[in-house]
Amino acid sequence: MPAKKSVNQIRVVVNPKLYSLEAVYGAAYAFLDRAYIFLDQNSKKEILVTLKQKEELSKKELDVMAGEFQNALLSYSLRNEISKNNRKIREYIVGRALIGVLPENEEIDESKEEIQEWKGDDLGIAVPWEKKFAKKTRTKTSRE
Amino acid sequence: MNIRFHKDLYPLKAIQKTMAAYRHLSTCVFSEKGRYYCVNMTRIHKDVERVIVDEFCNYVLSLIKE
Repeated sequence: MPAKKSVNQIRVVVNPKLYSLEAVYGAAYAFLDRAYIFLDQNSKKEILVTLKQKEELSKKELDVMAGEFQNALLSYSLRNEISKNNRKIREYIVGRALIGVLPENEEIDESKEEIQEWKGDDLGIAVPWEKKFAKKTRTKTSRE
Repeated sequence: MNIRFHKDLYPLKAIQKTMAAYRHLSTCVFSEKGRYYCVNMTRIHKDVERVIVDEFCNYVLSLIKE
Protein backbone atom coordinates (compact mmCIF):
# COMPACT_ATOMS: atom_id res chain seq x y z
CA MET A 1 0.00 0.00 0.00
CA PRO A 2 2.09 2.96 -1.14
CA ALA A 3 1.38 6.44 0.21
CA LYS A 4 2.03 9.68 -1.68
CA LYS A 5 2.55 12.93 0.19
CA SER A 6 1.69 16.46 -0.90
CA VAL A 7 1.00 19.69 0.97
CA ASN A 8 -1.20 19.02 4.03
CA GLN A 9 -2.44 15.73 2.66
CA ILE A 10 -1.38 12.17 2.04
CA ARG A 11 -2.72 9.63 -0.43
CA VAL A 12 -2.99 5.93 0.32
CA VAL A 13 -3.42 3.51 -2.58
CA VAL A 14 -5.56 0.50 -1.72
CA ASN A 15 -5.67 -2.68 -3.76
CA PRO A 16 -9.35 -3.77 -3.99
CA LYS A 17 -8.27 -7.37 -4.45
CA LEU A 18 -6.82 -7.35 -0.95
CA TYR A 19 -9.26 -5.05 0.84
CA SER A 20 -13.00 -4.88 0.29
CA LEU A 21 -14.81 -1.62 -0.32
CA GLU A 22 -16.65 -2.11 2.98
CA ALA A 23 -13.32 -2.19 4.81
CA VAL A 24 -12.30 1.06 3.09
CA TYR A 25 -15.61 2.67 4.12
CA GLY A 26 -15.17 1.42 7.69
CA ALA A 27 -11.63 2.76 8.02
CA ALA A 28 -12.61 6.05 6.37
CA TYR A 29 -15.55 6.42 8.73
CA ALA A 30 -13.26 5.93 11.73
CA PHE A 31 -11.06 8.79 10.50
CA LEU A 32 -13.81 11.29 9.70
CA ASP A 33 -13.22 13.24 12.91
CA ARG A 34 -9.46 13.49 12.34
CA ALA A 35 -9.17 14.16 8.61
CA TYR A 36 -11.02 15.08 5.45
CA ILE A 37 -11.25 11.95 3.36
CA PHE A 38 -11.83 11.64 -0.34
CA LEU A 39 -12.04 8.43 -2.35
CA ASP A 40 -11.19 8.00 -6.01
CA GLN A 41 -10.25 5.25 -8.41
CA ASN A 42 -7.38 5.13 -10.90
CA SER A 43 -7.20 3.38 -14.25
CA LYS A 44 -5.87 0.20 -12.57
CA LYS A 45 -9.10 0.12 -10.51
CA GLU A 46 -7.11 0.82 -7.35
CA ILE A 47 -8.82 2.90 -4.67
CA LEU A 48 -7.08 6.18 -3.89
CA VAL A 49 -7.78 7.42 -0.37
CA THR A 50 -6.78 11.03 0.21
CA LEU A 51 -6.38 12.03 3.85
CA LYS A 52 -6.33 15.79 4.30
CA GLN A 53 -5.45 17.17 7.70
CA LYS A 54 -8.02 19.14 9.68
CA GLU A 55 -5.44 20.64 12.01
CA GLU A 56 -1.87 21.53 11.11
CA LEU A 57 0.30 18.43 11.20
CA SER A 58 3.98 17.88 10.53
CA LYS A 59 5.11 15.49 7.79
CA LYS A 60 5.88 12.86 10.39
CA GLU A 61 2.41 13.16 11.89
CA LEU A 62 0.90 12.80 8.43
CA ASP A 63 2.90 9.62 7.93
CA VAL A 64 1.68 8.35 11.28
CA MET A 65 -1.91 9.09 10.31
CA ALA A 66 -1.50 7.20 7.03
CA GLY A 67 -0.04 4.27 8.93
CA GLU A 68 -2.93 4.30 11.39
CA PHE A 69 -5.36 4.40 8.49
CA GLN A 70 -3.73 1.34 6.97
CA ASN A 71 -3.95 -0.43 10.32
CA ALA A 72 -7.64 0.49 10.57
CA LEU A 73 -8.14 -0.86 7.07
CA LEU A 74 -6.62 -4.17 8.06
CA SER A 75 -8.68 -4.25 11.25
CA TYR A 76 -11.98 -3.59 9.44
CA SER A 77 -11.10 -6.10 6.76
CA LEU A 78 -10.54 -8.81 9.38
CA ARG A 79 -13.70 -7.79 11.24
CA ASN A 80 -15.74 -8.14 8.05
CA GLU A 81 -14.23 -11.53 7.37
CA ILE A 82 -15.03 -12.78 10.89
CA SER A 83 -18.53 -11.35 10.63
CA LYS A 84 -19.12 -13.26 7.38
CA ASN A 85 -17.77 -16.50 8.85
CA ASN A 86 -19.86 -16.24 12.03
CA ARG A 87 -23.07 -15.20 10.31
CA LYS A 88 -24.80 -18.59 10.59
CA ILE A 89 -23.89 -18.97 14.26
CA ARG A 90 -25.14 -15.43 15.02
CA GLU A 91 -28.43 -16.11 13.25
CA TYR A 92 -28.81 -19.38 15.16
CA ILE A 93 -28.22 -17.68 18.52
CA VAL A 94 -30.70 -14.89 17.79
CA GLY A 95 -33.24 -17.45 16.55
CA ARG A 96 -32.89 -19.48 19.76
CA ALA A 97 -33.26 -16.35 21.88
CA LEU A 98 -36.45 -15.36 20.06
CA ILE A 99 -37.92 -18.85 20.43
CA GLY A 100 -37.20 -18.64 24.17
CA VAL A 101 -39.31 -15.50 24.42
CA LEU A 102 -42.41 -17.15 22.90
CA PRO A 103 -44.96 -18.55 25.46
CA GLU A 104 -44.82 -22.31 25.97
CA ASN A 105 -47.80 -24.68 25.60
CA GLU A 106 -48.02 -25.38 29.35
CA GLU A 107 -48.60 -21.74 30.15
CA ILE A 108 -51.44 -21.59 27.63
CA ASP A 109 -53.11 -24.59 29.30
CA GLU A 110 -52.88 -22.91 32.71
CA SER A 111 -54.61 -19.79 31.44
CA LYS A 112 -57.40 -21.94 29.93
CA GLU A 113 -57.93 -23.57 33.33
CA GLU A 114 -58.15 -20.17 34.97
CA ILE A 115 -60.85 -19.08 32.51
CA GLN A 116 -62.82 -22.29 33.18
CA GLU A 117 -62.62 -21.66 36.95
CA TRP A 118 -63.85 -18.15 36.47
CA LYS A 119 -66.82 -19.40 34.40
CA GLY A 120 -67.83 -21.77 37.18
CA ASP A 121 -68.57 -18.90 39.56
CA ASP A 122 -70.73 -20.58 42.26
CA LEU A 123 -70.96 -17.59 44.58
CA GLY A 124 -71.92 -15.22 41.80
CA ILE A 125 -69.04 -12.85 42.43
CA ALA A 126 -68.38 -12.32 38.76
CA VAL A 127 -72.00 -11.31 38.02
CA PRO A 128 -72.32 -7.52 37.57
CA TRP A 129 -74.39 -5.56 40.11
CA GLU A 130 -76.84 -4.34 37.44
CA LYS A 131 -77.76 -7.88 36.45
CA LYS A 132 -78.30 -8.96 40.04
CA PHE A 133 -80.40 -5.92 40.82
CA ALA A 134 -82.39 -6.24 37.62
CA LYS A 135 -83.39 -9.81 38.54
CA LYS A 136 -84.67 -8.76 41.99
CA THR A 137 -86.70 -5.83 40.69
CA ARG A 138 -88.24 -8.06 38.01
CA THR A 139 -89.27 -10.63 40.62
CA LYS A 140 -90.73 -7.87 42.83
CA THR A 141 -92.73 -6.38 39.99
CA SER A 142 -94.01 -9.81 38.91
CA ARG A 143 -95.25 -10.52 42.49
CA GLU A 144 -97.10 -7.24 42.63
CA MET B 1 -16.31 24.69 -6.94
CA ASN B 2 -16.71 21.33 -8.57
CA ILE B 3 -16.52 17.96 -6.79
CA ARG B 4 -16.30 14.68 -8.71
CA PHE B 5 -17.43 11.48 -7.00
CA HIS B 6 -16.58 8.16 -8.61
CA LYS B 7 -19.71 6.12 -9.30
CA ASP B 8 -18.16 2.87 -8.06
CA LEU B 9 -17.27 4.40 -4.70
CA TYR B 10 -20.02 6.88 -3.89
CA PRO B 11 -23.72 5.92 -4.00
CA LEU B 12 -26.03 8.46 -5.59
CA LYS B 13 -28.42 8.51 -2.61
CA ALA B 14 -25.67 9.65 -0.23
CA ILE B 15 -24.72 12.50 -2.57
CA GLN B 16 -28.33 13.60 -2.98
CA LYS B 17 -28.94 13.55 0.76
CA THR B 18 -25.79 15.61 1.34
CA MET B 19 -26.89 18.13 -1.28
CA ALA B 20 -30.18 18.48 0.54
CA ALA B 21 -28.38 18.94 3.87
CA TYR B 22 -26.09 21.64 2.42
CA ARG B 23 -28.89 23.51 0.69
CA HIS B 24 -28.77 26.37 3.19
CA LEU B 25 -25.00 26.83 2.77
CA SER B 26 -24.66 26.82 -1.01
CA THR B 27 -26.40 26.22 -4.30
CA CYS B 28 -25.56 22.73 -5.51
CA VAL B 29 -26.06 21.60 -9.11
CA PHE B 30 -25.82 17.89 -9.84
CA SER B 31 -24.66 16.32 -13.11
CA GLU B 32 -23.10 13.12 -14.42
CA LYS B 33 -19.96 12.86 -16.49
CA GLY B 34 -18.68 9.43 -17.52
CA ARG B 35 -17.78 7.42 -14.42
CA TYR B 36 -18.35 10.40 -12.12
CA TYR B 37 -21.18 12.19 -10.34
CA CYS B 38 -20.41 15.90 -10.36
CA VAL B 39 -21.60 18.46 -7.84
CA ASN B 40 -21.06 22.10 -8.68
CA MET B 41 -21.27 24.43 -5.70
CA THR B 42 -21.95 28.12 -6.14
CA ARG B 43 -23.17 30.95 -3.89
CA ILE B 44 -21.29 29.47 -0.99
CA HIS B 45 -21.86 30.99 2.42
CA LYS B 46 -18.78 33.08 3.28
CA ASP B 47 -18.28 31.56 6.73
CA VAL B 48 -17.77 28.06 5.34
CA GLU B 49 -16.07 28.86 2.04
CA ARG B 50 -12.74 27.32 3.01
CA VAL B 51 -14.00 24.02 4.33
CA ILE B 52 -17.26 23.36 2.56
CA VAL B 53 -15.87 21.03 -0.14
CA ASP B 54 -13.98 18.86 2.33
CA GLU B 55 -16.88 18.82 4.77
CA PHE B 56 -19.24 17.91 1.95
CA CYS B 57 -17.07 14.90 1.03
CA ASN B 58 -16.87 13.77 4.66
CA TYR B 59 -20.64 14.11 5.02
CA VAL B 60 -21.21 11.88 1.97
CA LEU B 61 -18.88 9.26 3.44
CA SER B 62 -20.64 9.36 6.78
CA LEU B 63 -23.97 8.70 5.03
CA ILE B 64 -22.53 5.73 3.13
CA LYS B 65 -21.64 4.02 6.39
CA GLU B 66 -25.15 4.56 7.76
